[in-house]
Amino acid sequence: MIQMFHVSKYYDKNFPALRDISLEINKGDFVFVMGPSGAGKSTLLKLIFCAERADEGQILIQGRNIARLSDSKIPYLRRNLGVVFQDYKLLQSRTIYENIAFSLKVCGVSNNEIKRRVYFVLKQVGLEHKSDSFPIRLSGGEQQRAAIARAIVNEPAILIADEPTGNLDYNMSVEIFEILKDINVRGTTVIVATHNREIVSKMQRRIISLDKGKIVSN
Amino acid sequence: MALYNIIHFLEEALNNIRRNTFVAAITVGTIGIAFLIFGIFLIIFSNLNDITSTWKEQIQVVSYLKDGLSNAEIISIEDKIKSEREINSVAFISKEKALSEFRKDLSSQTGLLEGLGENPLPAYFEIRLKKAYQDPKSILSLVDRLKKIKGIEEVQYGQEWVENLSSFLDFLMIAGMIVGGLISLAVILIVSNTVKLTVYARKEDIEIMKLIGATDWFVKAPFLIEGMAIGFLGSLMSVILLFGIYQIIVQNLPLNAGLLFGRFSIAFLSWPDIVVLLIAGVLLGLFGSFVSVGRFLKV
Repeated sequence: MIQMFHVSKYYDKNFPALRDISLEINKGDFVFVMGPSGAGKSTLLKLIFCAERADEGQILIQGRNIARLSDSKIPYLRRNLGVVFQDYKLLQSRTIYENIAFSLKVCGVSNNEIKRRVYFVLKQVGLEHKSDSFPIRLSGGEQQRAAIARAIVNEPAILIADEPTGNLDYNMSVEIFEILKDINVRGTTVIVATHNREIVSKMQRRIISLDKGKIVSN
Repeated sequence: MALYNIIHFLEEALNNIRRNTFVAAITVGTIGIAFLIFGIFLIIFSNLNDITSTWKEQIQVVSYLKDGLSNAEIISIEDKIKSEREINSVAFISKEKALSEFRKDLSSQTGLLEGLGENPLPAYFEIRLKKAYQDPKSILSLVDRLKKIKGIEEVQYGQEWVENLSSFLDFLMIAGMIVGGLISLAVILIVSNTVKLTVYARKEDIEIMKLIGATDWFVKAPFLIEGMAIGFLGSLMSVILLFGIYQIIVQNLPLNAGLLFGRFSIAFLSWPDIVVLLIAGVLLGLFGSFVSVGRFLKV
Protein backbone atom coordinates (compact mmCIF):
# COMPACT_ATOMS: atom_id res chain seq x y z
CA MET A 1 0.00 0.00 0.00
CA ILE A 2 2.80 2.41 0.97
CA GLN A 3 6.40 1.79 -0.01
CA MET A 4 9.39 4.04 0.58
CA PHE A 5 12.79 3.46 -0.99
CA HIS A 6 15.84 5.33 0.30
CA VAL A 7 13.86 8.46 1.05
CA SER A 8 15.65 11.53 2.41
CA LYS A 9 14.37 14.98 3.20
CA TYR A 10 16.52 18.02 3.96
CA TYR A 11 15.29 21.27 5.46
CA ASP A 12 18.92 22.08 6.24
CA LYS A 13 21.69 20.67 4.07
CA ASN A 14 23.77 19.45 7.03
CA PHE A 15 20.94 18.03 9.14
CA PRO A 16 18.55 15.83 7.17
CA ALA A 17 15.05 15.55 8.66
CA LEU A 18 14.85 12.02 7.22
CA ARG A 19 17.79 9.89 6.12
CA ASP A 20 17.59 6.93 3.79
CA ILE A 21 14.19 5.69 4.89
CA SER A 22 12.94 2.45 3.35
CA LEU A 23 9.74 0.82 4.59
CA GLU A 24 6.59 -0.93 3.53
CA ILE A 25 3.11 -0.63 5.01
CA ASN A 26 0.50 -3.12 3.83
CA LYS A 27 -3.20 -2.76 3.22
CA GLY A 28 -5.14 -2.94 6.49
CA ASP A 29 -2.09 -2.35 8.70
CA PHE A 30 -2.22 -0.28 11.88
CA VAL A 31 1.18 1.30 12.35
CA PHE A 32 2.55 3.62 15.00
CA VAL A 33 5.38 5.99 14.16
CA MET A 34 7.24 6.89 17.33
CA GLY A 35 10.29 8.80 18.39
CA PRO A 36 11.43 11.90 20.30
CA SER A 37 10.56 15.43 19.14
CA GLY A 38 12.45 16.29 15.98
CA ALA A 39 12.96 12.64 15.06
CA GLY A 40 11.15 13.14 11.74
CA LYS A 41 7.73 11.60 12.51
CA SER A 42 5.71 14.51 11.14
CA THR A 43 7.96 14.84 8.11
CA LEU A 44 7.50 11.16 7.32
CA LEU A 45 3.71 11.57 7.39
CA LYS A 46 3.84 14.83 5.43
CA LEU A 47 5.71 13.05 2.65
CA ILE A 48 2.78 10.64 2.30
CA PHE A 49 0.17 13.36 1.80
CA CYS A 50 2.58 15.56 -0.15
CA ALA A 51 2.67 18.48 2.28
CA GLU A 52 6.42 17.99 1.85
CA ARG A 53 8.26 16.45 -1.09
CA ALA A 54 11.15 14.00 -0.77
CA ASP A 55 14.58 15.29 -1.85
CA GLU A 56 15.85 11.77 -2.54
CA GLY A 57 14.27 8.37 -3.03
CA GLN A 58 10.89 7.11 -4.25
CA ILE A 59 7.52 6.82 -2.53
CA LEU A 60 4.82 4.54 -3.91
CA ILE A 61 1.24 4.85 -2.70
CA GLN A 62 -1.12 2.16 -4.00
CA GLY A 63 1.46 1.51 -6.69
CA ARG A 64 1.69 5.13 -7.79
CA ASN A 65 5.03 6.95 -7.55
CA ILE A 66 4.26 10.25 -5.83
CA ALA A 67 7.81 11.56 -6.08
CA ARG A 68 6.96 12.57 -9.62
CA LEU A 69 3.40 13.71 -8.90
CA SER A 70 2.77 17.21 -10.26
CA ASP A 71 1.36 19.86 -7.91
CA SER A 72 -1.95 19.89 -9.76
CA LYS A 73 -2.44 16.15 -9.07
CA ILE A 74 -1.83 16.40 -5.32
CA PRO A 75 -5.49 17.22 -4.45
CA TYR A 76 -6.64 13.97 -6.09
CA LEU A 77 -4.12 11.98 -4.06
CA ARG A 78 -5.30 13.68 -0.85
CA ARG A 79 -8.93 12.78 -1.52
CA ASN A 80 -7.93 9.17 -1.17
CA LEU A 81 -6.14 9.82 2.12
CA GLY A 82 -7.66 10.96 5.38
CA VAL A 83 -5.45 13.20 7.49
CA VAL A 84 -5.90 14.06 11.19
CA PHE A 85 -3.77 16.72 12.87
CA GLN A 86 -2.79 17.47 16.44
CA ASP A 87 -4.46 20.92 16.23
CA TYR A 88 -7.58 19.45 14.51
CA LYS A 89 -7.47 22.01 11.68
CA LEU A 90 -11.21 22.57 11.59
CA LEU A 91 -12.62 25.58 9.74
CA GLN A 92 -13.60 27.79 12.67
CA SER A 93 -16.27 29.77 10.85
CA ARG A 94 -18.18 26.65 9.82
CA THR A 95 -20.29 24.20 11.74
CA ILE A 96 -19.15 20.63 12.32
CA TYR A 97 -21.56 19.49 9.62
CA GLU A 98 -20.16 22.03 7.15
CA ASN A 99 -16.58 21.07 8.02
CA ILE A 100 -17.20 17.42 7.22
CA ALA A 101 -19.37 18.20 4.21
CA PHE A 102 -16.57 20.28 2.71
CA SER A 103 -14.48 17.12 2.16
CA LEU A 104 -17.28 15.71 0.04
CA LYS A 105 -18.05 18.96 -1.78
CA VAL A 106 -14.46 19.02 -2.93
CA CYS A 107 -15.13 15.72 -4.70
CA GLY A 108 -18.38 16.91 -6.26
CA VAL A 109 -20.69 14.67 -4.23
CA SER A 110 -24.40 15.61 -4.44
CA ASN A 111 -26.06 17.38 -1.51
CA ASN A 112 -28.31 14.44 -0.66
CA GLU A 113 -25.41 12.04 -0.62
CA ILE A 114 -23.39 14.52 1.48
CA LYS A 115 -26.16 14.66 4.06
CA ARG A 116 -26.38 10.87 4.26
CA ARG A 117 -22.64 10.32 4.58
CA VAL A 118 -21.98 13.18 7.01
CA TYR A 119 -24.63 11.89 9.44
CA PHE A 120 -23.27 8.40 9.08
CA VAL A 121 -19.73 9.39 10.13
CA LEU A 122 -21.00 11.74 12.82
CA LYS A 123 -22.80 8.77 14.32
CA GLN A 124 -19.66 6.68 14.00
CA VAL A 125 -17.64 9.17 16.10
CA GLY A 126 -20.57 9.91 18.43
CA LEU A 127 -21.13 13.54 17.46
CA GLU A 128 -24.52 13.45 15.74
CA HIS A 129 -25.92 15.89 18.33
CA LYS A 130 -23.15 18.44 17.62
CA SER A 131 -23.58 18.76 13.86
CA ASP A 132 -24.76 22.39 14.04
CA SER A 133 -22.18 23.52 16.59
CA PHE A 134 -19.13 25.54 15.72
CA PRO A 135 -15.73 24.00 16.57
CA ILE A 136 -15.05 26.57 19.29
CA ARG A 137 -18.09 25.25 21.25
CA LEU A 138 -16.65 21.71 21.33
CA SER A 139 -14.12 20.18 23.75
CA GLY A 140 -10.71 19.14 22.41
CA GLY A 141 -11.76 15.50 22.24
CA GLU A 142 -14.95 16.36 20.40
CA GLN A 143 -13.06 18.54 17.93
CA GLN A 144 -10.64 15.71 17.25
CA ARG A 145 -13.52 13.31 16.72
CA ALA A 146 -15.00 15.79 14.26
CA ALA A 147 -11.63 15.98 12.48
CA ILE A 148 -11.54 12.17 12.29
CA ALA A 149 -15.07 12.15 10.90
CA ARG A 150 -13.96 14.60 8.23
CA ALA A 151 -10.93 12.44 7.43
CA ILE A 152 -12.95 9.24 6.95
CA VAL A 153 -16.09 10.59 5.30
CA ASN A 154 -14.51 10.04 1.87
CA GLU A 155 -13.85 6.43 2.82
CA PRO A 156 -10.12 6.78 2.19
CA ALA A 157 -7.85 3.76 1.81
CA ILE A 158 -5.35 5.29 4.22
CA LEU A 159 -5.84 7.33 7.38
CA ILE A 160 -2.88 9.36 8.61
CA ALA A 161 -2.93 10.88 12.09
CA ASP A 162 -0.16 13.19 13.28
CA GLU A 163 -0.14 13.33 17.10
CA PRO A 164 -3.94 13.08 17.20
CA THR A 165 -3.99 12.99 21.01
CA GLY A 166 -1.18 15.51 21.60
CA ASN A 167 -3.61 18.07 23.03
CA LEU A 168 -5.88 15.62 24.86
CA ASP A 169 -5.96 14.05 28.31
CA TYR A 170 -5.63 10.29 28.86
CA ASN A 171 -9.32 9.37 28.79
CA MET A 172 -10.00 11.34 25.67
CA SER A 173 -6.88 9.85 24.07
CA VAL A 174 -8.13 6.32 24.76
CA GLU A 175 -11.44 7.27 23.15
CA ILE A 176 -9.70 8.59 20.04
CA PHE A 177 -7.55 5.46 19.71
CA GLU A 178 -10.66 3.30 20.04
CA ILE A 179 -12.19 5.15 17.11
CA LEU A 180 -8.99 4.74 15.07
CA LYS A 181 -8.99 1.05 15.88
CA ASP A 182 -12.59 0.74 14.67
CA ILE A 183 -11.72 2.47 11.43
CA ASN A 184 -8.84 0.06 10.94
CA VAL A 185 -11.10 -2.92 11.57
CA ARG A 186 -13.30 -1.72 8.69
CA GLY A 187 -10.30 -2.11 6.37
CA THR A 188 -8.61 1.27 6.35
CA THR A 189 -4.84 1.38 6.70
CA VAL A 190 -4.03 3.59 9.70
CA ILE A 191 -0.71 5.31 10.39
CA VAL A 192 -0.39 7.25 13.64
CA ALA A 193 2.53 9.35 14.83
CA THR A 194 2.39 9.66 18.60
CA HIS A 195 4.30 10.17 21.83
CA ASN A 196 1.76 8.27 23.86
CA ARG A 197 3.78 5.19 24.93
CA GLU A 198 1.22 3.96 27.40
CA ILE A 199 -1.56 3.57 24.87
CA VAL A 200 0.79 2.29 22.19
CA SER A 201 2.06 -0.51 24.37
CA LYS A 202 -1.52 -1.44 25.31
CA MET A 203 -2.59 -1.66 21.69
CA GLN A 204 0.12 -4.10 20.60
CA ARG A 205 0.60 -2.95 17.03
CA ARG A 206 3.52 -2.52 14.69
CA ILE A 207 5.82 0.36 15.68
CA ILE A 208 8.26 2.22 13.45
CA SER A 209 10.72 4.08 15.66
CA LEU A 210 12.60 7.07 14.35
CA ASP A 211 15.54 8.97 15.81
CA LYS A 212 17.37 11.84 14.19
CA GLY A 213 15.72 11.09 10.87
CA LYS A 214 16.62 7.38 10.76
CA ILE A 215 14.59 4.28 11.41
CA VAL A 216 15.95 2.68 14.57
CA SER A 217 13.45 -0.15 14.80
CA ASN A 218 10.60 -1.43 12.65
CA MET B 1 -20.33 19.18 -12.50
CA ALA B 2 -19.50 22.62 -13.87
CA LEU B 3 -22.91 23.98 -12.86
CA TYR B 4 -22.61 22.26 -9.49
CA ASN B 5 -19.28 23.99 -8.98
CA ILE B 6 -20.56 27.41 -10.04
CA ILE B 7 -23.47 27.15 -7.62
CA HIS B 8 -21.08 25.99 -4.90
CA PHE B 9 -18.66 28.89 -5.59
CA LEU B 10 -21.45 31.48 -5.46
CA GLU B 11 -22.84 29.93 -2.27
CA GLU B 12 -19.38 29.88 -0.69
CA ALA B 13 -18.68 33.51 -1.65
CA LEU B 14 -22.02 34.63 -0.26
CA ASN B 15 -21.55 32.59 2.93
CA ASN B 16 -18.03 33.97 3.37
CA ILE B 17 -19.38 37.51 3.25
CA ARG B 18 -22.17 36.53 5.65
CA ARG B 19 -19.76 34.82 8.06
CA ASN B 20 -17.43 37.81 8.03
CA THR B 21 -20.01 40.60 7.77
CA PHE B 22 -18.02 43.01 9.90
CA VAL B 23 -14.78 42.60 7.96
CA ALA B 24 -16.68 42.73 4.67
CA ALA B 25 -18.44 45.95 5.72
CA ILE B 26 -15.18 47.60 6.72
CA THR B 27 -13.59 46.51 3.45
CA VAL B 28 -16.49 47.85 1.41
CA GLY B 29 -16.29 51.13 3.37
CA THR B 30 -12.55 51.51 2.84
CA ILE B 31 -12.84 50.79 -0.86
CA GLY B 32 -15.81 53.17 -1.06
CA ILE B 33 -13.85 56.03 0.48
CA ALA B 34 -10.81 55.38 -1.74
CA PHE B 35 -13.02 55.47 -4.82
CA LEU B 36 -14.86 58.52 -3.47
CA ILE B 37 -11.60 60.49 -3.47
CA PHE B 38 -10.88 59.30 -6.98
CA GLY B 39 -14.43 60.20 -8.05
CA ILE B 40 -14.12 63.73 -6.63
CA PHE B 41 -10.92 64.17 -8.62
CA LEU B 42 -12.65 62.81 -11.71
CA ILE B 43 -15.56 65.25 -11.38
CA ILE B 44 -13.27 68.24 -10.86
CA PHE B 45 -11.00 67.22 -13.71
CA SER B 46 -13.74 66.48 -16.22
CA ASN B 47 -15.55 69.74 -15.39
CA LEU B 48 -12.34 71.73 -15.82
CA ASN B 49 -11.88 69.95 -19.12
CA ASP B 50 -15.40 70.91 -20.20
CA ILE B 51 -14.80 74.51 -19.19
CA THR B 52 -11.57 74.71 -21.16
CA SER B 53 -13.21 73.22 -24.21
CA THR B 54 -15.90 75.94 -24.11
CA TRP B 55 -13.06 78.43 -23.91
CA LYS B 56 -11.44 76.78 -26.87
CA GLU B 57 -14.67 77.02 -28.84
CA GLN B 58 -14.47 80.76 -28.47
CA ILE B 59 -11.20 80.90 -30.35
CA GLN B 60 -11.74 82.58 -33.69
CA VAL B 61 -9.51 83.69 -36.49
CA VAL B 62 -10.31 86.98 -38.22
CA SER B 63 -9.01 87.62 -41.73
CA TYR B 64 -9.16 91.31 -42.69
CA LEU B 65 -9.53 92.03 -46.40
CA LYS B 66 -7.86 94.68 -48.47
CA ASP B 67 -10.10 97.55 -49.54
CA GLY B 68 -11.55 97.70 -52.99
CA LEU B 69 -12.00 93.98 -53.73
CA SER B 70 -14.72 92.97 -56.17
CA ASN B 71 -17.52 90.60 -55.11
CA ALA B 72 -16.03 87.87 -57.29
CA GLU B 73 -12.66 88.28 -55.56
CA ILE B 74 -14.30 88.11 -52.13
CA ILE B 75 -16.17 84.94 -53.10
CA SER B 76 -12.96 83.38 -54.37
CA ILE B 77 -11.19 84.24 -51.09
CA GLU B 78 -14.08 82.69 -49.13
CA ASP B 79 -13.83 79.53 -51.22
CA LYS B 80 -10.11 79.32 -50.56
CA ILE B 81 -10.64 79.74 -46.84
CA LYS B 82 -13.38 77.12 -46.84
CA SER B 83 -11.10 74.66 -48.59
CA GLU B 84 -8.81 74.53 -45.52
CA ARG B 85 -9.46 71.40 -43.49
CA GLU B 86 -9.48 73.17 -40.09
CA ILE B 87 -12.46 75.34 -40.92
CA ASN B 88 -15.76 74.78 -39.17
CA SER B 89 -17.61 77.93 -40.30
CA VAL B 90 -16.85 81.17 -42.11
CA ALA B 91 -18.90 84.35 -41.85
CA PHE B 92 -18.36 87.35 -44.06
CA ILE B 93 -18.68 90.78 -42.45
CA SER B 94 -18.82 93.61 -44.98
CA LYS B 95 -17.35 97.05 -44.36
CA GLU B 96 -20.85 98.45 -43.71
CA LYS B 97 -21.77 95.72 -41.29
CA ALA B 98 -18.44 96.15 -39.52
CA LEU B 99 -19.19 99.82 -39.04
CA SER B 100 -22.74 99.27 -37.85
CA GLU B 101 -21.51 96.67 -35.34
CA PHE B 102 -18.84 99.11 -34.20
CA ARG B 103 -21.54 101.74 -33.72
CA LYS B 104 -23.56 99.29 -31.69
CA ASP B 105 -20.54 98.53 -29.50
CA LEU B 106 -19.93 102.20 -28.87
CA SER B 107 -23.68 102.93 -28.42
CA SER B 108 -23.57 105.95 -26.11
CA GLN B 109 -20.55 107.44 -27.73
CA THR B 110 -21.67 107.25 -31.34
CA GLY B 111 -20.82 110.92 -31.56
CA LEU B 112 -17.19 109.95 -31.86
CA LEU B 113 -17.87 108.46 -35.26
CA GLU B 114 -19.69 111.48 -36.64
CA GLY B 115 -16.56 113.11 -37.97
CA LEU B 116 -15.62 110.12 -40.05
CA GLY B 117 -15.79 110.77 -43.73
CA GLU B 118 -15.45 107.39 -45.34
CA ASN B 119 -15.77 104.06 -43.55
CA PRO B 120 -12.26 103.24 -42.22
CA LEU B 121 -13.10 99.65 -41.16
CA PRO B 122 -12.06 96.78 -43.39
CA ALA B 123 -14.35 93.91 -44.37
CA TYR B 124 -13.40 90.59 -42.78
CA PHE B 125 -14.08 86.91 -42.47
CA GLU B 126 -14.85 85.47 -39.05
CA ILE B 127 -13.53 81.93 -39.02
CA ARG B 128 -14.37 79.25 -36.47
CA LEU B 129 -12.30 76.12 -36.19
CA LYS B 130 -13.21 72.49 -35.87
CA LYS B 131 -12.72 71.02 -32.37
CA ALA B 132 -9.70 68.96 -33.33
CA TYR B 133 -7.81 72.05 -34.51
CA GLN B 134 -8.43 74.38 -31.60
CA ASP B 135 -4.83 74.37 -30.47
CA PRO B 136 -2.02 76.91 -30.99
CA LYS B 137 -0.03 74.75 -33.40
CA SER B 138 -2.91 74.17 -35.81
CA ILE B 139 -3.99 77.79 -35.51
CA LEU B 140 -0.50 79.09 -36.35
CA SER B 141 -0.20 76.84 -39.38
CA LEU B 142 -3.67 77.89 -40.60
CA VAL B 143 -2.85 81.57 -40.06
CA ASP B 144 0.32 81.17 -42.15
CA ARG B 145 -1.68 79.72 -45.01
CA LEU B 146 -4.42 82.37 -44.74
CA LYS B 147 -1.85 85.16 -44.88
CA LYS B 148 -0.69 83.87 -48.26
CA ILE B 149 -4.16 84.19 -49.81
CA LYS B 150 -4.22 87.13 -52.17
CA GLY B 151 -6.54 89.88 -50.96
CA ILE B 152 -6.14 89.16 -47.24
CA GLU B 153 -4.37 92.03 -45.55
CA GLU B 154 -4.03 90.78 -42.00
CA VAL B 155 -4.96 87.81 -39.89
CA GLN B 156 -5.69 88.07 -36.18
CA TYR B 157 -6.38 85.26 -33.81
CA GLY B 158 -5.97 86.61 -30.28
CA GLN B 159 -2.41 85.36 -30.09
CA GLU B 160 -1.89 86.09 -26.41
CA TRP B 161 -5.17 84.46 -25.41
CA VAL B 162 -4.44 81.35 -27.40
CA GLU B 163 -0.95 81.05 -25.97
CA ASN B 164 -2.09 81.60 -22.39
CA LEU B 165 -4.90 79.15 -22.84
CA SER B 166 -2.56 76.63 -24.35
CA SER B 167 -0.01 76.84 -21.55
CA PHE B 168 -2.84 76.67 -19.00
CA LEU B 169 -4.21 73.57 -20.71
CA ASP B 170 -0.75 72.00 -20.76
CA PHE B 171 -0.43 72.71 -17.06
CA LEU B 172 -3.88 71.33 -16.38
CA MET B 173 -3.11 68.18 -18.33
CA ILE B 174 0.19 67.53 -16.54
CA ALA B 175 -1.20 68.39 -13.10
CA GLY B 176 -4.23 66.21 -13.84
CA MET B 177 -2.07 63.32 -14.91
CA ILE B 178 0.17 63.58 -11.83
CA VAL B 179 -2.67 63.98 -9.34
CA GLY B 180 -4.84 61.45 -11.16
CA GLY B 181 -1.92 59.02 -11.38
CA LEU B 182 -1.13 59.34 -7.68
CA ILE B 183 -4.75 58.96 -6.65
CA SER B 184 -5.19 55.96 -8.97
CA LEU B 185 -2.09 54.37 -7.50
CA ALA B 186 -3.36 54.99 -3.98
CA VAL B 187 -6.75 53.52 -4.88
CA ILE B 188 -5.14 50.45 -6.46
CA LEU B 189 -2.97 49.89 -3.39
CA ILE B 190 -5.73 50.53 -0.86
CA VAL B 191 -8.32 48.37 -2.60
CA SER B 192 -6.07 45.43 -3.41
CA ASN B 193 -4.43 45.51 0.03
CA THR B 194 -7.74 45.73 1.85
CA VAL B 195 -9.01 42.73 -0.07
CA LYS B 196 -5.70 40.99 0.65
CA LEU B 197 -6.19 41.53 4.38
CA THR B 198 -9.55 39.77 4.27
CA VAL B 199 -7.82 36.82 2.60
CA TYR B 200 -4.87 36.87 5.02
CA ALA B 201 -7.32 36.57 7.88
CA ARG B 202 -8.41 33.24 6.40
CA LYS B 203 -5.06 31.83 5.32
CA GLU B 204 -5.47 28.91 7.70
CA ASP B 205 -8.79 28.07 6.07
CA ILE B 206 -7.06 28.02 2.70
CA GLU B 207 -4.38 25.68 4.07
CA ILE B 208 -6.99 23.35 5.57
CA MET B 209 -9.02 23.24 2.35
CA LYS B 210 -5.90 22.31 0.41
CA LEU B 211 -5.02 19.56 2.91
CA ILE B 212 -8.49 18.09 2.54
CA GLY B 213 -7.94 17.71 -1.18
CA ALA B 214 -9.43 20.87 -2.70
CA THR B 215 -7.88 21.92 -5.99
CA ASP B 216 -6.43 25.42 -6.27
CA TRP B 217 -9.45 26.59 -8.25
CA PHE B 218 -11.91 25.13 -5.81
CA VAL B 219 -10.32 27.22 -3.07
CA LYS B 220 -9.65 30.26 -5.18
CA ALA B 221 -12.93 30.76 -7.03
CA PRO B 222 -15.11 31.77 -4.03
CA PHE B 223 -12.42 34.22 -2.90
CA LEU B 224 -12.29 35.75 -6.38
CA ILE B 225 -16.08 36.09 -6.50
CA GLU B 226 -16.03 37.58 -3.01
CA GLY B 227 -13.26 40.03 -4.02
CA MET B 228 -15.23 41.12 -7.07
CA ALA B 229 -18.44 41.52 -5.05
CA ILE B 230 -16.71 43.57 -2.36
CA GLY B 231 -14.93 45.70 -4.99
CA PHE B 232 -18.24 46.27 -6.76
CA LEU B 233 -20.09 47.18 -3.56
CA GLY B 234 -17.27 49.55 -2.57
CA SER B 235 -17.25 51.38 -5.87
CA LEU B 236 -21.06 51.44 -5.95
CA MET B 237 -21.04 52.99 -2.50
CA SER B 238 -18.59 55.64 -3.72
CA VAL B 239 -20.86 56.54 -6.65
CA ILE B 240 -23.86 56.87 -4.33
CA LEU B 241 -21.89 59.02 -1.84
CA LEU B 242 -20.49 61.06 -4.68
CA PHE B 243 -23.96 61.74 -6.04
CA GLY B 244 -25.14 62.79 -2.57
CA ILE B 245 -22.22 65.18 -2.13
CA TYR B 246 -22.73 66.46 -5.68
CA GLN B 247 -26.39 67.21 -4.99
CA ILE B 248 -25.58 69.05 -1.78
CA ILE B 249 -22.93 71.18 -3.49
CA VAL B 250 -25.01 71.95 -6.58
CA GLN B 251 -28.03 72.96 -4.52
CA ASN B 252 -26.01 75.26 -2.31
CA LEU B 253 -23.98 76.83 -5.09
CA PRO B 254 -24.63 80.59 -5.42
CA LEU B 255 -26.50 81.24 -8.66
CA ASN B 256 -23.79 83.43 -10.11
CA ALA B 257 -20.94 81.05 -9.33
CA GLY B 258 -21.30 79.52 -12.76
CA LEU B 259 -20.55 82.85 -14.41
CA LEU B 260 -17.02 82.62 -13.09
CA PHE B 261 -16.38 79.65 -15.30
CA GLY B 262 -18.40 80.77 -18.26
CA ARG B 263 -21.06 78.14 -17.64
CA PHE B 264 -23.91 77.55 -15.30
CA SER B 265 -23.71 74.01 -14.09
CA ILE B 266 -21.31 71.46 -12.69
CA ALA B 267 -21.68 68.13 -14.43
CA PHE B 268 -21.80 64.82 -12.50
CA LEU B 269 -19.81 61.83 -13.73
CA SER B 270 -20.90 60.65 -17.15
CA TRP B 271 -22.44 57.17 -17.48
CA PRO B 272 -19.27 55.78 -19.07
CA ASP B 273 -17.24 57.21 -16.14
CA ILE B 274 -19.59 55.52 -13.66
CA VAL B 275 -19.35 52.21 -15.50
CA VAL B 276 -15.55 52.48 -15.60
CA LEU B 277 -15.50 53.21 -11.86
CA LEU B 278 -17.66 50.15 -11.10
CA ILE B 279 -15.61 47.92 -13.36
CA ALA B 280 -12.41 49.24 -11.75
CA GLY B 281 -13.83 48.24 -8.36
CA VAL B 282 -14.63 44.73 -9.59
CA LEU B 283 -11.23 44.30 -11.24
CA LEU B 284 -9.25 45.61 -8.27
CA GLY B 285 -11.16 43.33 -5.91
CA LEU B 286 -10.45 40.43 -8.24
CA PHE B 287 -6.78 41.38 -8.49
CA GLY B 288 -6.37 41.71 -4.71
CA SER B 289 -7.95 38.30 -4.09
CA PHE B 290 -6.09 36.62 -6.91
CA VAL B 291 -2.66 37.76 -5.72
CA SER B 292 -3.22 37.02 -2.04
CA VAL B 293 -4.99 33.66 -2.33
CA GLY B 294 -2.27 32.46 -4.69
CA ARG B 295 0.27 33.10 -1.98
CA PHE B 296 -1.34 30.62 0.43
CA LEU B 297 -2.14 27.85 -2.01
CA LYS B 298 1.25 26.20 -1.84
CA VAL B 299 0.40 23.60 0.79
